[in-house]
Amino acid sequence: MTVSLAELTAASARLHNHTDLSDELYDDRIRDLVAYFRHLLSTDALSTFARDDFLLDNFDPSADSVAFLFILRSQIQKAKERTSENLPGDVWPTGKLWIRAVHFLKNFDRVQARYVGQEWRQLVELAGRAAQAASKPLLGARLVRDAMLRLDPSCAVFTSTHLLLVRLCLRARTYACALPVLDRHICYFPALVGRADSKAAQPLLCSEQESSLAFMGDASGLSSKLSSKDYLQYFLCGGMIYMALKQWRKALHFLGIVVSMPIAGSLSMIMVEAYKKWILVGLLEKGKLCPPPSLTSPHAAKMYQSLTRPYITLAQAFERDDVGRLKAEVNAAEHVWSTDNNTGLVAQVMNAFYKHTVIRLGKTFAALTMADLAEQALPWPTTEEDAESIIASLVMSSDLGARLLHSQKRTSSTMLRLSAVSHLPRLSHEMEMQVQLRNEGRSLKTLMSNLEQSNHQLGLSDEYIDNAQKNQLWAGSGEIPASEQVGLDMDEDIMGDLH
Amino acid sequence: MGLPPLSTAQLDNLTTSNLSPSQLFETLSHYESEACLATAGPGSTDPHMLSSFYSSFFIVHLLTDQVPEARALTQRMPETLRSQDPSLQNCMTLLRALWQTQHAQVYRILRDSPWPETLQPLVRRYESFFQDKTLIAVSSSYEAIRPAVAAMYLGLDEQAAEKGDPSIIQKFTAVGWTWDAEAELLLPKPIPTAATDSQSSNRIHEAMGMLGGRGS
Amino acid sequence: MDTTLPDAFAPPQSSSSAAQGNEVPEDTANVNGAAPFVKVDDPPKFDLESYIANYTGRTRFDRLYLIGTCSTLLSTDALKVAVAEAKSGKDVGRYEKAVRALSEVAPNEPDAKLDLAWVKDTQRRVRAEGDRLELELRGYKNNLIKESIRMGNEELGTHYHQTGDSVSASKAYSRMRDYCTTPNHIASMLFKLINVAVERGEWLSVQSNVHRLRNAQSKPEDQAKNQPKISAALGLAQMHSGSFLEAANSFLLTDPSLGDTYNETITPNDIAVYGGLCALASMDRVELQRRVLENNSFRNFLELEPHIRRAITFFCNSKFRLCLDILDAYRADYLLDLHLQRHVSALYSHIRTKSIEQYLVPFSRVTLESMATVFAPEVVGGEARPTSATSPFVQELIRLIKDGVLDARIDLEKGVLVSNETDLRTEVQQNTLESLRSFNEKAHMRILRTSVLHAGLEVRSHDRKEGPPLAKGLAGRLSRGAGILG
Repeated sequence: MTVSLAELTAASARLHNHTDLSDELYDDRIRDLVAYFRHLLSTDALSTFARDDFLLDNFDPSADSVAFLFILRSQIQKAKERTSENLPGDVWPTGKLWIRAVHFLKNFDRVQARYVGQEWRQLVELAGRAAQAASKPLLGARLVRDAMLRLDPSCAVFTSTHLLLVRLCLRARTYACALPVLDRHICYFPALVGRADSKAAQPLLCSEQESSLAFMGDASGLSSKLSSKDYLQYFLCGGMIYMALKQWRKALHFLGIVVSMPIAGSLSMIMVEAYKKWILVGLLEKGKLCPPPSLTSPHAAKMYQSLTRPYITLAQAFERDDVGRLKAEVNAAEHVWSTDNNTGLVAQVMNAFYKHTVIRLGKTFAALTMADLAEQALPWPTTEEDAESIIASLVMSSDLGARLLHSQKRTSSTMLRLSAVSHLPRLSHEMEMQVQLRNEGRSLKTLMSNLEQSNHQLGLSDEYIDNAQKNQLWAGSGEIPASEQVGLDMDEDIMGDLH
Repeated sequence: MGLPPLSTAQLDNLTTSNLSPSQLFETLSHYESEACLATAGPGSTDPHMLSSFYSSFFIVHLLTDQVPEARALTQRMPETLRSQDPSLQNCMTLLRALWQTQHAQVYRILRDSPWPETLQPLVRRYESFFQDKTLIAVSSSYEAIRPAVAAMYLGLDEQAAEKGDPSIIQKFTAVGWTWDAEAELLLPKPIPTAATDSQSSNRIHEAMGMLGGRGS
Repeated sequence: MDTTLPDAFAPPQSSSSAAQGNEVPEDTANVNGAAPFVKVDDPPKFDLESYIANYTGRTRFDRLYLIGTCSTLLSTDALKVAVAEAKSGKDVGRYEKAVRALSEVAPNEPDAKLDLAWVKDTQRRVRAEGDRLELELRGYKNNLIKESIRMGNEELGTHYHQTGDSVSASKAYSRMRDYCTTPNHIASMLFKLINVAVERGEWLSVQSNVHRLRNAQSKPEDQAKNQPKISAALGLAQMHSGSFLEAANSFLLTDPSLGDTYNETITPNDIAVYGGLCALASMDRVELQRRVLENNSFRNFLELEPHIRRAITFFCNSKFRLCLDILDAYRADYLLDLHLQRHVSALYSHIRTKSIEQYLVPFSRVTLESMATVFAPEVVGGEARPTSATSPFVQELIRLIKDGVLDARIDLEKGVLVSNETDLRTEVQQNTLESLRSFNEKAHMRILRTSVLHAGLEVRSHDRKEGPPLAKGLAGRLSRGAGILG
């Protein structure tokens, strides 16, 4: 069987000008087209075009997404067969098929893509693999991110692509690139869909959806089969990206998610990794040993305690305001930090210690001289100038609510006035507050609508109850699956030294 | 979309344009893939163009206040380029000075290092950005400051300031600071910064209402 | 048997104040040895002879021995009296202990030599007496006469108590229980048990026996008669357990009819001192005024120790320096008191801390200078900068702030202590933002968790889905990257 270019363009053209069509009609036509191409693929009808480098010029990925994707797929398939390589040279960055794939992923139509979820995902994965194979994960990172956001701007449903993205970003060290996805709250898993209201009228894939959950279910193929390890790794890696950007609070939230996930059976090593980082990041963000989130199962909490001793003793030394002990703990467990790839974080904790000591001074003193301060808070011998420049940078970065006062003609030491509350001029301070409040409020609203959505899902399902009951029974076998290697050390903060 | 390909000329266009820092950042981000590909073929690309791309992109990171990410950028640029290109070497010293908050050093690098001509507009832009940012921070961090230290923060002539040079003092009084000639101290006044959002002030009630209504 | 206060409550000993050079930290390993745990060089204000005349019974020896071993000035005098006191009784252990102590401070005193003949003779008499009493008791038991058995046990208990075998004494007294026929019997038995427990320093036992006494079905008039002693004993036990407020309450409730009835344990003067100090250490000015100074019944006690009354009055009038001066003047006396000794520094430091606290109440800011003149006059005279960060007084304030006792901050620029006032508006804003943030985070966690459960994606032990392990080998490459800048 063969097929002509004219037939292909004509078939794809039926989707053009869809704004004139009703949702039902459009849905029908896309489904027909997908079926048509699946058929062509299975009968090898497209093989005549396998080496036609210009065929795809006849299709516009934004209007002919289905056609474009299937033809590209068939060409990639043929290239694989020809070279008997999993990643033929044409697919590698700058290869002709790579260029086509990039063109598609940058321009595809987000509604049509919903009908070809599996093919879409496999292309994304291929692009990611090719970029890595060429040691240019950066190329993949941006591409994958933009494709994800194009498909589902809310990014609220977790998919295997999420994990692909954070891995690419970590490898490429392009951290900020992941933020548009990381900053959106993940609320669902594809498996949630279709179970509950399979009987109820399924909305059409192509219609405007209130929640992306409607088109991202298990059946969509937009995610590969997921296990707990996938999302655990995603949140751990995401936390590490936040750490690299020194967004400690968000990092803590991500780590907290990993630490507190429900367990049926024994703990995952990923969770233990996360808990170690949770302790260190907690010290950096809050200056204290943070207990595991309240949702953490008591069994897990107990296991963390026993598996992370050196971290806990380190945190206790930090809390007790004891430089000597802190230094001793840092040195004593050096091999632990480096085995866990946490050396960099620990070095940052050390610097944060001095910062928090100075901040704590603000609870005791309303004003004191640099000389007094150096004696009270800085353990190493420091000249007044050095102390002043350390403190000045803490004040100027708003880490420390205080103001400095030089004295007349250098007659005496510089004075530090520590304000009990923020010292910024009220007006701009309040405005800043308002902005932040508004952002949090917005985020709350999004979460609430997601909550309603998931309530809706749960309300219809008996399974939830079963599941919930089953989970009361978790009993840990205490066995830890070994060799789940997750780890990238956060860079040692050698440039941020206070000394 | 539809960006012209990455080239020295295109970079010159961008660096001399009036685009806002965040627009510049977006555009240059798009070009990073191209730059990344360009480094693949040895000898095939103009190292001058790459140096100029990475240097510009680096400065734009700083202009958008993304210091940790700027550092990540230096780590993902081609090793050989970073270790050999003088302009990127300047970027590294600049990063180090910023990280350690050594203001005098930052100005010295921005002003005295041999930045290529094409980079000058961005470097000048960053210098004034850094100066403004520091001025705002100093204004609300000091209640009284010796002119020499203030001059150091803002990259002005410290010795002249120490002697109470009226032209320097005048720079500070122009932004609302007071000069106490007798004590030889400048008394800064906080500079209110424009907030990005200025709606009515019922946010707290609103937020509290939301919390109360939903409960946990 | 030895009787020097082993303390069932294991008293706080960190409290030995560093400011007071004449106190040596207590050596717990050797509580009952000859070595005194406290040395008092300052002369006390009391006269030994009239002081000891206030007491009766075995407490006389304990008090004399304590003074003898702790006071450098009174050691010989007190120990000589102690030797005589012991020799007038039949407790050989005590006699030997007193002679040993005396021989250390005054080897040439004739009393510093053991009277071996007396020792032998007494030991023989004690043994004979004990045997006789045991025999008699056995006889009573055979006859099954309850009252006789009770009295037999009582006599035996008293015998053991007087000869220093307090363990056997309390056993014998406890055996009386089954033969008590009237509430009075029970009360008298319990008092005897309390006395032994006080002597042994078993304060929990004192408290439980006090409790039993209260529940005993005595007649109202007997109850009234016993009340003062019960309150006093309870107060003593509470003071020893460090519950100063409760102790103060018990002493304040003690009826003045106590008089000299309980001199084998505590005198009305002691009630005034113990009660006054405990109250000072635990009550604020209003309470002190209302519950101590305006307390008609307690006034009877306070009249016996007018300086305590003055100290409390000064405290109530915010004249803290005068109050502390009085206490300082009597420190030596209290360090030589059998029951107060180990609590003096805790009580004093409570009172001092409270004075500082109360001093600050009316002010939003106070100069450190003026505080130092009240609370550290010795510093003001001596140091170049009495209000610098390194002065002991400022260090003390720093400690109090860090411990959360004082809600204030030190301003070393203006030399003032500023009480913390909060900017309410800013605080509300910050709190709102913070609670909104953490609410969002928690809500997100809950939603995610629910979804995980619903999707059946809990963390399981056999998750065998293999992804390529992340970043193997990548870790090393990334972690040292920073070195390039170095």
